[in-house]
Amino acid sequence: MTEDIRKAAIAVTAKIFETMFFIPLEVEEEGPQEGVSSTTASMFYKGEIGFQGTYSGKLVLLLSDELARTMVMNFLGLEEDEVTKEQVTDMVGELCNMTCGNLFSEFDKKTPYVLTIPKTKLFASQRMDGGAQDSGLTVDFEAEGHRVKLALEFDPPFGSKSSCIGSFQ
Amino acid sequence: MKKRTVPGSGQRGDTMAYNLLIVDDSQTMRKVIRKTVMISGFDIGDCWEAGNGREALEVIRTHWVDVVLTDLNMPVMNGMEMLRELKRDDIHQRTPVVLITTEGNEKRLEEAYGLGIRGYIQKPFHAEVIRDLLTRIMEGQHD
Repeated sequence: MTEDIRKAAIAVTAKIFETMFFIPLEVEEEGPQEGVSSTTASMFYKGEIGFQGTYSGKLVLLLSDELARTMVMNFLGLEEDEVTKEQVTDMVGELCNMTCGNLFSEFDKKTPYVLTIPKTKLFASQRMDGGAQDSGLTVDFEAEGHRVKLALEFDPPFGSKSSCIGSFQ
Repeated sequence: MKKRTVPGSGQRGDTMAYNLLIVDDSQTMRKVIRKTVMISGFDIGDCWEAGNGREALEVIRTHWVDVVLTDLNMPVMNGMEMLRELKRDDIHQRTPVVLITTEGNEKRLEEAYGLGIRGYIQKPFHAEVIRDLLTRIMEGQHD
């Protein structure tokens, strides 16, 4: 089950990055690689959306400020100095919405899922650590030299232990 | 809600320009959809934007809207609630509505078609998919 949803999560995330942001994604099978700049990003965005259906929980996306700004430039056709924080925040939320909606449409076609309104926050000087452990899954991607982390936390969890994905305070 | 008139359009000359309403709580996504429709070659007249279903109904009831492109998951009034209210509106119930959403669930799409939507585009999308669907719907309006 976890492997099936992981494959679906990889496929839909890559499709969204390529179709909407013109950025190819590669999965980091062995975890973060040397030289991927945003393992320790100076600033990074954390987007979160809840889902409720056959499976319930939340999807979290982490990506560096630099990559997020590049995505907005590609998404809206803007120059670097035209990108605002509000646009980046909005884009990260929409990215969560697209990823979660597509994931469960793909993975669990028969169940209508209810998604919450996505929330996005900008964090400074923190490692992009933390991910779902026994209660879900985490996938690390590399995009143009930046790290993207996708985490799914299920409630109730697949396993019995609690997850270590932090919630918004 | 915001009105955005596309420069150089809004005139009904040799080709028909259509007034568009884009409904999505993401301002960024509204811009992307507008831009995608423009580059797809679909002739836009006035282009309105709304952040939720409630705002969209206000636009529909006060302006001539040829086609509505709407998301489902929105605060205040979601897309499905908007469709239900639009169906109860004797004057505007025939306004063509297209879903542009992440939703791909068959049951929910069946419900949306039951409420009168003319088509459905799943995000992420390509420009030509939007153009082809809008062209088909608007040509159908004149049959």
